[in-house]
Amino acid sequence: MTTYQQSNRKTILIVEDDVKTARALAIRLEAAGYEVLTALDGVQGVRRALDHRPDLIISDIWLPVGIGFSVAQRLQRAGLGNIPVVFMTASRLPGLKEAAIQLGAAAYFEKPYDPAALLRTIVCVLDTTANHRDHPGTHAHIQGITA
Amino acid sequence: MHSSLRILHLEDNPDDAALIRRKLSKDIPGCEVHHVENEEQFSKALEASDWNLILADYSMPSAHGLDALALARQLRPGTPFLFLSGMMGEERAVESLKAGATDYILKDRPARLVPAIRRALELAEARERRERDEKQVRQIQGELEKSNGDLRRRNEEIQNFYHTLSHELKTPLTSVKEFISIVMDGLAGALNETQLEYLAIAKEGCDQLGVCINDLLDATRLDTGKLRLEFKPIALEVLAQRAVTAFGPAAARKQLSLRTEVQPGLPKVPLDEHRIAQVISNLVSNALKYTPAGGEIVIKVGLASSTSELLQVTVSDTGCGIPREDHERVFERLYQVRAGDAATGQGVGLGLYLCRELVQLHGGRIWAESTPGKGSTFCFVVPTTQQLLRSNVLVVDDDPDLLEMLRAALQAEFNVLTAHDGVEALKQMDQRTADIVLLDLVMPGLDGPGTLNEIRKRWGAVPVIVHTGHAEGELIDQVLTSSPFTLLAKPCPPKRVLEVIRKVERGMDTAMWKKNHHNVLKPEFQQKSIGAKS
Repeated sequence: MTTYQQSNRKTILIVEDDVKTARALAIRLEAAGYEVLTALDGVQGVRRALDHRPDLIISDIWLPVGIGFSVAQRLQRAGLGNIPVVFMTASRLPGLKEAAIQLGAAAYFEKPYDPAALLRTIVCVLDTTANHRDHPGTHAHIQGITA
Repeated sequence: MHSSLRILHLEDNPDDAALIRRKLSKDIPGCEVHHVENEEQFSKALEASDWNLILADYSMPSAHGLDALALARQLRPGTPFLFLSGMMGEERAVESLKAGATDYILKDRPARLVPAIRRALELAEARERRERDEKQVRQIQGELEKSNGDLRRRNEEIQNFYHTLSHELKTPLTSVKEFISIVMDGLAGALNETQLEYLAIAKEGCDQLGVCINDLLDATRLDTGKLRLEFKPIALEVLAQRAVTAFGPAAARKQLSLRTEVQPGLPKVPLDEHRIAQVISNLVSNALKYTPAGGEIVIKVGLASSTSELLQVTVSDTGCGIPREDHERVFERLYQVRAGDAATGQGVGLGLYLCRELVQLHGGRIWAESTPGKGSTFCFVVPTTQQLLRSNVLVVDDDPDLLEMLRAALQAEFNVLTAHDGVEALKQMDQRTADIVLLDLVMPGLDGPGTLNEIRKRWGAVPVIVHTGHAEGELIDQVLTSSPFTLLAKPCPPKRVLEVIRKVERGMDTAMWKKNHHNVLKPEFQQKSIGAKS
């Protein structure tokens, strides 16, 4: 088991309405050395993001209050558009991935996700974001990553 | 003729009136003539009741014949109107016919009277019949449109249902699988070998379930015609190598050798990367399932032996093999390995069915070769160019505007050939056989039924879509002798014509032909007997 220990702990916000999946993700991410926050719907997700300014957000797409895409849009309007968002969904509706990428998704995973690939992607996205911190607006997107 | 024929007669000369009445009563049994003398009486009689026929003197002091005609046309537009005149020049006669009169008869030629009346009545009857038929056609079209809308809605409902179902099944599967992984990764404490082995089995079950759910969704998409491919040039060997990487660990666990053999210098081919990868991984996953420990699985990629226009992928194993009689059947939907054949009876039997459908959507072919006890080889070929993938659609219609509109709508997906009439269509077919023919019925020269008859004689069972505004009647009766075909009622938006052609191309329609000889399509699949007329 590889751990991705961070020198200064990064915070990840999980927006996921399925409590079990949220818990599994939290265990995984905490074990990898991240600080984890969870929100069970879209509105709570936006609130948490505004209060805590996480380094990365993992968001489900179909959420009870406000779909995942609208979470990302609201954050962009609130000036938090530089927080990378990794979308995750159990749906296979055509066009969903394209919509996520168009919205500037850092990555897109289909459920059930591959945890190793997810952790690798998170490390990669956080690295890229850190490197680009001095150049706001040049947020690099890792496109087309699917579990 | 008529048991009671009611004739309204406008005539200001009572002697003439009496003469006519006598003649008609004698020559037309059961005839009842109601005589009126002026416009006022005429108008009242018209309003009061329905008449089978109106006879009117052309020129009377009290009422001009043309005024009477105008009034009759207004109140009883369908009733035949005959002028009876002592003197009527050619000019007046033409004028009266233009104004809507059915016929005119000169008083000095009474022999013409009865035949003219009979003819006028026959014409009126024919017109009434035609109007009734047209009304019926409109009604049928309306019904078809409605049921087509219902079908479309139902299709969407089915799609939505399966999307929701797959979402609801995958959500718990995600957490089950992830908690198993978490325990296996030691995040909940150390595990012994046996615990790890058991959890690995549980996790594999989750993966199978995940594949099943996706297969189910894909099968529904295929059935409802919603599965679309996205072509881009792909190196097939890369997909084969990817499968080796993905299944490497599973093969190693089962002590199987898994490798690729690639012919060098292969061209990239237009494929839907995701779908062909799905086909390859399905074949490899089957090979893994049915090959005992120590066996070998080889994925070969190369040009097909028969032609360089096809690339061939084969997946061979050293497993239990498939009996000859099942080589075709394994690709059938819901085919199951017979109980007792293998301890690995898993899956809902959609995997190879999806492989076949996906390969066919690429314009390719898939088959199995096997010697029981020695192993199986699954082969599929795909065309090397997009052009080969596309079907030739021949559109035959005498309306040049419609031809152009359809060409514009179809050319993105099909090679469109056009013909303005039957003769031209057959010439086109001689040069380049069409895969699908969209055929108008009413055309100058060789019409639709004649053309279809020729096509059947010379090219056999090529799929034909009859595109016509005449869903009933003689033309359809004629064309029925050359069934099966799909019937698409005009007018139909080009987008819908495209949808129908896609479905016919996919062969979704052919099964129905066999069962029903023909089906009415307006514009989606709908079965309705059009041969039986009441």
